[in-house]
Amino acid sequence: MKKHVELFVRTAIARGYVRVKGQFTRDVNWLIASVVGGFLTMATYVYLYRSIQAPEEFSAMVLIGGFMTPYWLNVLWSVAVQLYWEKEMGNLQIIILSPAPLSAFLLGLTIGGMFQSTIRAVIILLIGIFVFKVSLVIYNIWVVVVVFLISLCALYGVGMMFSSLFLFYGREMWRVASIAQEPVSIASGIYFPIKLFGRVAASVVSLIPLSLGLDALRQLLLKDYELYFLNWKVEVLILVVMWVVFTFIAIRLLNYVEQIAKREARLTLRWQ
Amino acid sequence: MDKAIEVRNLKRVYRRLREPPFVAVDNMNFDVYEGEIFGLLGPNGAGKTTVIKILSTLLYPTEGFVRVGGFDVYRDVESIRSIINLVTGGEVAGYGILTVKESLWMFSQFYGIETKEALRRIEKYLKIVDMWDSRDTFLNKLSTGMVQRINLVRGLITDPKILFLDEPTLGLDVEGGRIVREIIKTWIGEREGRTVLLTTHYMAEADELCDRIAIINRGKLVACDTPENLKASISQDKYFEITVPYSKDLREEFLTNINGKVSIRDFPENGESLISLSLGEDKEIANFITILTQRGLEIKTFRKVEPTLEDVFIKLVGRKFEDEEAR
Ligand SMILES: Nc1ncnc2c1ncn2[C@@H]1O[C@H](COP(=O)(O)OP(=O)(O)OP(=O)(O)O)[C@@H](O)[C@H]1O
Ligand SMILES: [Mg+2]
Repeated sequence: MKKHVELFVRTAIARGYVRVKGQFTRDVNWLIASVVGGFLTMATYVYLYRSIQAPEEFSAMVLIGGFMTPYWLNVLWSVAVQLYWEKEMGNLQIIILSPAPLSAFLLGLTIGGMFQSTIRAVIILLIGIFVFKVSLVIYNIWVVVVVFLISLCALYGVGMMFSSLFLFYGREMWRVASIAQEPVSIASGIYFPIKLFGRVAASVVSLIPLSLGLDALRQLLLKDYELYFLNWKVEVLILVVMWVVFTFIAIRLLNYVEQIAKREARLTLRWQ
Repeated sequence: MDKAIEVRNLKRVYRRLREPPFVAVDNMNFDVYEGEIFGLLGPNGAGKTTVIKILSTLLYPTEGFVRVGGFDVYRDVESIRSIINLVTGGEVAGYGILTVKESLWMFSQFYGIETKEALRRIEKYLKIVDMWDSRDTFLNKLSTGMVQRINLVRGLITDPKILFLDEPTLGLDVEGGRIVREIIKTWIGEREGRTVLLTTHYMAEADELCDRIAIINRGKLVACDTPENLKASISQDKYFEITVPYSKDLREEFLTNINGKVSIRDFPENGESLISLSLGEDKEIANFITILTQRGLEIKTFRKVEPTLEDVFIKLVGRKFEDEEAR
């Protein structure tokens, strides 16, 4: 048992290391470009709300959305599609061949991805606070941090779950993701409260953990925030359930994919 | 001797889109013993990679029974994975942003090896493959030959009991291939109980490197034995080639006096004749040499001709190796 845990941890750290190192060796232009991109989108919405004289809390709301966006993009483009890339690069066969569980590998690259995104997210947040003079209220920093982390876990759980599907369906799934990115981003309420959708639609988009996470964080960080969908405590509870369920499904899917791969001679073999 | 690998009635069928299923491995049986370098030799498409994938738990057999290190490939996957490793010739793995050392460290972690120990082994094997000076080079800056050696090191640092090598010298030049073969021999001799199963479609490589060889063709095992026995099996006769100075009246005299088959080819332009002998026994050659010297014929070259694995393949399959490949 101890051996298993050790192997799991070592594998996750080793794969996470690649991401962390990548963050520091990747050229700075890339970091600047992605920060500027996120900032510009955020700015568009802030000025839009200000031009229609929306309450000032809308700017803060957009800021929180902008802060979470890098994580969401990371989940989609660096976690969900990653196993597919690993296969193309020839690494998947090596990890499957080793005694290490594929889930440890996936977890490692996920945590590495969170780290990458945090750098971007924090820069965007700071620029936003500075440029738009948005004020946030923090009653209890620890509650905020815990809720934030739970949202992240649930969100990355989705990514891990989807990584098996991407691996399985390859390029077709890729196209679906490209098409889905924009509508899903909008639907998950990065730039406005999902309450505006009405009960039914809001419940549907709540399946994306990003929506509930944002809604909960806004309740915790904005003064007298009225536009929330459900009470943040309920939302956190749902997020925890999502986290557990998604992780469970993700692990089952990984095992299933490996079985299929071995039976049908797919996936671990490149060019097939 | 203990069996490292046991293969019984192994069959693997590939299902294909809009085409009938394809039998890539058909009713194969062989054993590999601990301490051996065992070779799967066969032309392209023979089924070598399929077999090695099944043995290394990447692919299920369709039928049959396979044990690796005493474990069943169906039920004891985890036990097998912790005692094996597989390196495929020409593979490119790892991440370009990592250095050689970092990359090897990363792969070692998938086997739960303590970092200090991993680094010790990395240093040791990088030195053996003469790549220690490149330890801080980024992976995407390496030449093909270097990549191949790094891959081999990746396989060695996890200290597998059984090492699988799929075409380990594929795409390497003569010198590169020689280095890789040297490393394999050194590694297996370094400690008892290590086993190597490799695939190749180079006859000479199999002959030089392997203790035993399984020749496979179109998914079937054609023969399995030591290179010496395989070559001996196709013929009981001993072949010799002798060159002597050209002399017109050579032919008849020898044909009458010798117990065996003789053929003579003349090369008057070189002033030489080439005598090919096929004798029932080695000691017949003594008589022949005596006759030559009695006639005052100087022996310019003398060579015992061994049959090659190529000859074995032709004899067993009825076609040349390359013709099978071109099929
Ligand atoms: N996934 C697959 N689906 C269908 N057919 C396959 C698949 N993989 C291999 N084959 C077929 O099975 C046969 C054996 O392939 P295999 O790769 O085992 O041969 P090999 O001996 O390794 O050949 P090579 O020397 O080219 O590497 C080939 O005819 C190949 O086309
Ligand atoms: Mg092959």
